[in-house]
Amino acid sequence: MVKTVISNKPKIVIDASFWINVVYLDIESYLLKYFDIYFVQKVESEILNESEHKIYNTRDMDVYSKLKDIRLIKIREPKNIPKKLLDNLQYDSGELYCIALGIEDNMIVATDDKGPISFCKINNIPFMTSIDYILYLYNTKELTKKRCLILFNMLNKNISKKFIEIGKKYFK
Amino acid sequence: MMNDIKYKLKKSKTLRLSDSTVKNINYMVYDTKLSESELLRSIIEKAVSDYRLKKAINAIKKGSVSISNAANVAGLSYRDFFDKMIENGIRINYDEKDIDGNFDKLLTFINKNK
Repeated sequence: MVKTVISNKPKIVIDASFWINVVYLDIESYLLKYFDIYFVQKVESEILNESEHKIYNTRDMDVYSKLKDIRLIKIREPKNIPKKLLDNLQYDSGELYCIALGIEDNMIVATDDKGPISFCKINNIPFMTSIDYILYLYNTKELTKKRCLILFNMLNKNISKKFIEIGKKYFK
Repeated sequence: MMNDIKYKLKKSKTLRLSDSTVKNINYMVYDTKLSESELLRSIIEKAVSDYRLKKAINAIKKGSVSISNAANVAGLSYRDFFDKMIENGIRINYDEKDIDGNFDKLLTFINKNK
């Protein structure tokens, strides 16, 4: 008999910018604890950098491959791409397929990229930035306030300070 | 963007160079052991890729494009462009109104979908 395990965790579809930032902060393991994680093929190739210029592996590439090997990361493709996505986002990009899948399967779109964030906001699609994710981990008591502030400061390498301040204001 | 432009430049082009540029190029040919054509081609190609990268980085700085868009403008893969952003100290820019208050909405969605 085949046993079907139904997860009651919220589903998220992750884009490359979010994955790179979250692995850089070393907080990706909590994603597995709190969410059912999906990637689209295009984002996988963006993360693994399947280009002719690839000369090294970063930690996020290795973590991705390892989690995929043990099937903690699922790959799913959207069945169709809504026209409004094609009109607003880069053709054949990870963000395009990512949001399409998010819409189709009622998933949270995890992204740190401006274009996808604006699209999600305008179209009322739930999204999570790495700043939101840190706040969520604080909310679930996985991270202390002190640790969150350290992570915000680390994130300042990749994300503008004024947005980090928006995250910090939750602690005031 | 680039596809909309009607190209005028032919594959071969004659151009006049200053004496100092000629001197420098002669020295570079001697120093690199490349042929004149190889060297000039590589200089032009480097200038083109630098121009594309600069244009992409400016667009990201302004917050007018996504990372995929910018990578496309720069002619680089997503990852290579992301690394270039970090190398150049360029940070991701959002629209403040897009992310302010998102956490509360997100929390409501998560709690509903547990």
